Amino acid sequence: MGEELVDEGSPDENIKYTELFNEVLPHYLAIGMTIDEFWNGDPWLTVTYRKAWDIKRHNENFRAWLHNKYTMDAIACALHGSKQAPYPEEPYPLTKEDMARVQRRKIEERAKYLRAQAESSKRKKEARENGNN
Amino acid sequence: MAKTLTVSYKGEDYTLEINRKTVEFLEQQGFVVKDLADKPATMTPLLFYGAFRKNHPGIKRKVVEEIFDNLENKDGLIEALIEMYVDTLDSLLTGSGEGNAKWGKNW
Repeated sequence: MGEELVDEGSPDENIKYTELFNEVLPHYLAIGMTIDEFWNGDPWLTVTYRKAWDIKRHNENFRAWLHNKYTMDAIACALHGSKQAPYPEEPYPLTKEDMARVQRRKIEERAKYLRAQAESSKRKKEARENGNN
Repeated sequence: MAKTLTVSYKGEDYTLEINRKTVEFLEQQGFVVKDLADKPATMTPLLFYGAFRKNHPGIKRKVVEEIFDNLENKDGLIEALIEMYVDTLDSLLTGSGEGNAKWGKNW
């Protein structure tokens, strides 16, 4: 759909506009335009509908890809075990904000782990020192 | 954005607009764009009348003809109407309708 709605090649000089309108009308109805909008509305509304259709197709394509990505994760987890191929604990980040939030949380988790390790080392050291005394 | 133009006559403002329904009506009446140059006396007033139908459906043809006869700069107006007429097809072909109109009061 989109630019191929009307073939621009070899225009017939005698063809009526109305014939072309009737020819493309089903395509516009299929992408959500109403008959009233097509015939009585702003002629340029068709461009908006085509752009919206492109966005919709893009989103559907992305959704299909994402669905299969999760399926692949599930299969990998089932085949190789959750330690080697863990299934994502949460959905993939889709926006820059999502990505930043995930990174921030990973850094916080890492810092927490390092703090715990330092605390543990400190306690062990203290225990050793107390034992020596 | 749909292009419109305003015609004022005897204290009354008329908004002229052409959509696909207008084009269908005009073609049923025998209007053909490519005949505008050969048959201006027939085609031009018909196009002008058609442009009234969307916003002034009840207007009498005689009144429109009277307005047409009293118009200044007819050529410029007809050029603008043709542009509006062609938009109904161009909007099925091109990616954007942002105006590059050269004539008219409302766009």
